Amino acid sequence: MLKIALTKGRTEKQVIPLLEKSGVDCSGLLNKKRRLIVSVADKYQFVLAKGPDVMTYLTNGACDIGIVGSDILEEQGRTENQLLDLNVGKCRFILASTSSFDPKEERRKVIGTKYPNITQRYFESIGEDVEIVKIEGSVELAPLVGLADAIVDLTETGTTLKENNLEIYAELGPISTRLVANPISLKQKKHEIFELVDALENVCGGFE
Amino acid sequence: MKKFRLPPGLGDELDEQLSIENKVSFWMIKRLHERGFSQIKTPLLEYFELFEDYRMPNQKMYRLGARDSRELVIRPDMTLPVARFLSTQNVKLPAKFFYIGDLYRKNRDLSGLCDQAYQLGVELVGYASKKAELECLELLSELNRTFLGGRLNLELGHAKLADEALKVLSIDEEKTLAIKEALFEKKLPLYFKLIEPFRSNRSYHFFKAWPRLFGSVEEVETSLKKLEIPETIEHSLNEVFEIAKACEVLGGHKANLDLSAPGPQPYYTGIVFKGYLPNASRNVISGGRYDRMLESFQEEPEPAVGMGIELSFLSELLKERLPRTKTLPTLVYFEKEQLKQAMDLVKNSDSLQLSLSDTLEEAMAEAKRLGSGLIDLTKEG
Repeated sequence: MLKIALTKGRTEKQVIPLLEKSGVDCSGLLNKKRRLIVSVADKYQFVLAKGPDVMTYLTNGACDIGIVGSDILEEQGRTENQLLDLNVGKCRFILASTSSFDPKEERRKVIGTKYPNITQRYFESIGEDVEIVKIEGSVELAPLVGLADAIVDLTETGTTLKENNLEIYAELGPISTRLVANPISLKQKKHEIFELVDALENVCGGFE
Repeated sequence: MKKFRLPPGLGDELDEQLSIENKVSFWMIKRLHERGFSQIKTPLLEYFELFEDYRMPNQKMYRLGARDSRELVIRPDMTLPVARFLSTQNVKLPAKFFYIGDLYRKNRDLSGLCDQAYQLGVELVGYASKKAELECLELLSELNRTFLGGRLNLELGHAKLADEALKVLSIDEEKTLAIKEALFEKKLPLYFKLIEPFRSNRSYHFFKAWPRLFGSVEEVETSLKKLEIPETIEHSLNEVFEIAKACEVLGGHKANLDLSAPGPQPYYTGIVFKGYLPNASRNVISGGRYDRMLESFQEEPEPAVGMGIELSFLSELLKERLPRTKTLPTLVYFEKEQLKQAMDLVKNSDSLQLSLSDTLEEAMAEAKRLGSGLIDLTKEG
């Protein structure tokens, strides 16, 4: 049986239709109520986990496969063993602020974000040293209330940014949901894992 | 005492695990001495520069303060200290060494992973012959039969196979590196994007299938038959199959192959091997050939093969398989002047132990706590 750590919430909702299209009966997952572990057809066991915990389950060998956003993989610096891009949960990392923000201003800027490592790497890549403030939610607030000069955050359509009078100053890269494997599980359960990967690839065009 | 805690990532080992660790290590030491290996012990601390180019994905070194204005680290690996020793001590080669000791690699904080490892390793330095690889694999086969019930999955690959295969694409170093990294780290969406421009290459289907070219010898052989293999990898590929077949003859042990695996470190040059047990989350054995490692230590390179066995992780996995049979002792209570008489009794028995209680009541309570019997010499006297 394959143990799959599935990010609960939005990712779970976007991935279930893909699983169903690929022939996995997800009625148990859809009617899970408050259960956190759901077995499907004696073939898969889904472990519903918070996104940042998915790789911890995988690294410690508690699960064989993880389904998680690439934003989390990049922030945690764990980008290896990605077998498939599920092409859902698509959004992008952006640098945004109010219209008065000047990205070329010569001073050490303060950047608010939920993703300090990605932010650090981005500013290092453009040769700029910034002060990073870690914010857990509603990151858009930071430049509006003067906590930060700008933010690095995820956006899907840009609507929330617009509604809060924020402009996009730079695109840092696209994000989507990925299927990740524990490397030893991949060796021991190669055929089961690739059977699932191939079935999902047929419905999501994962390598496009 | 409660204010003193262990730093995260570290742990005390208890008797149950240590007894297995000792059992395996004593057996290994005996077998290695019988096979002509000499033991070597290097310090836990080394200068940082020794490990400067050491690849540690997702891990970091424990770095200490400076000595002689040069930074010290706790060794994360034992092969490089052995190389340092060989290049500075005029050791006559060829020679076979083994080492056993602790090493430390800092994992992500609060990840639940252990930073400390007790490792036993062998280094066969100055041997260009494939017999050196076979000696290592034969040892593993013996270990597998003796302690692991034949459950060890041994996997072979070749450190140079990726570089050799990518030669047929005639691409620059930067692109080669990018494709290799995506392949080795199994970042498959990125890997397929990177090889997409080479659709017209006659080996394109090989590159497309490459990340899945692992499994049993038969499985990989069958997959390869359907593909146009880059001619540049023929030699390395033959070496891998040759060693895999020899493994089977050696110990009746079937090796698996992984043609898309990297060498454990950049200095590996030939056959590489890994070993893992069912239901384990990581490898317990890693090794291979590194003919160029000593280049950075001395003028002349030396052919070498080595491997490390993570004894602490192995013994953790063996806990259920090798449960410790604990015989309950019988305690001997005695007055101080009866020490010789008590010692004579204990020395001649496997099940008797001295009771160190001052009074008979305490001795009785001690025996009750241990669930053991009690011989009262004071009564007999």
